[in-house]
Amino acid sequence: MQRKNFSKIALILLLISIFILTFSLNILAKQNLTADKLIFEQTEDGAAIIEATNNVKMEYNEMEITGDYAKFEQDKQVVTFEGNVKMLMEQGELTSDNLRYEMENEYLEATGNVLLNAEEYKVESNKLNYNMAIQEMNFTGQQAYVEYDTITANADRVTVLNEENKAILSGNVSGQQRGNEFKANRIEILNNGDKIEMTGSAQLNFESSEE
Amino acid sequence: MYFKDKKKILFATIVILIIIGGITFSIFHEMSREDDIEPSNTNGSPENEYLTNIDLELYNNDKTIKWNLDSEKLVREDEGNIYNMDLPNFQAYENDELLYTGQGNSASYNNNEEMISLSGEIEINKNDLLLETDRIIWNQKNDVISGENGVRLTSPELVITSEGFTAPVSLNRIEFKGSENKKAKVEWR
Repeated sequence: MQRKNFSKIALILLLISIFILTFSLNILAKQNLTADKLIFEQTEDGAAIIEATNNVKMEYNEMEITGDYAKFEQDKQVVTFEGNVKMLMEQGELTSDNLRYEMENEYLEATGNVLLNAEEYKVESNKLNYNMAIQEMNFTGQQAYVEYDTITANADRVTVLNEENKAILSGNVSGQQRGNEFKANRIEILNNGDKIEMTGSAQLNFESSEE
Repeated sequence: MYFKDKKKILFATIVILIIIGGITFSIFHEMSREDDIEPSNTNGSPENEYLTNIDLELYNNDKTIKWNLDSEKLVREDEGNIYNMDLPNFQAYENDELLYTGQGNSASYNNNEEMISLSGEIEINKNDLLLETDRIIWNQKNDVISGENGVRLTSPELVITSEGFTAPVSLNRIEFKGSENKKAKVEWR
């Protein structure tokens, strides 16, 4: 009987402790912006607008974004970065000239000299639209360049579906894999480059055996 | 056997509690340390003469903003060039419309330098904003208000902390400046 009560008390204490720890960690969920200078203003509606300059760094949950300048619009929950933007995220490191992140929609847009260096692939383009909620990245603007395992290619549009381990290149696709050149309207790179599916006027030029 | 289990459970519970307590304490200690604002220093200037229940009106250069500064006690020094006040309260008006109110532990108005400074636990309330700092100075030559020794702005949605700030007398655009050791920081909910 005494042992049972003791176990109960120990269990209750443990649960209380876990609750306190969870609460503390929740408080510490990172959502902050630091800089050498912050300028605070309010709109007519009373919403805050904060401009940050020099050594700007935003920590937002698992992401870290740095840049020369940032503007945070509190009512829209939108932050815009300009100049030498670098973003560290789960997929890798993203650099660009400008970046706009809608926090509520988990939607990101990067423009100008966009480069994503992920663990298994690398993409360069002029524009990236990234829907984080469904883990879909769309690289557009001029011809996007992609390096995916043994494949290098250019295309009008590169879509990376992170959850499906798949990349879709569409529009004027041309590239090569192990010296074999290919052209197509659309190719799908599956399983991190293990399999390629080509559609629409696909053309393969195999490397000459004499070479 | 029972005694041994009981000891094990007790020991495990104590260890878990110590770890959790330690983490919790360090988290809150770190948070409260960041929020600390350095305490002010007061100086005891020689008193020449003093008045009680004083209301002082100060204007910016273009006379659009007025400060009503009141204090229970005003000490006049240096042949009327310096006025020291205890527990000052102030209200700022723009064309008779209340902009903000504030208070501090002491204030000093320097007539020659056209400068008024308030020190010690300064709190300024502007609509739903609370601006806290240790010392503010209103330089009437350029109508810039600056705050130093740690600043904290709290709104319902966010908190800004920094070493100091500068702003026009209207306080409608506040520049928070960080230092080498402590960057200006905004946290939001």
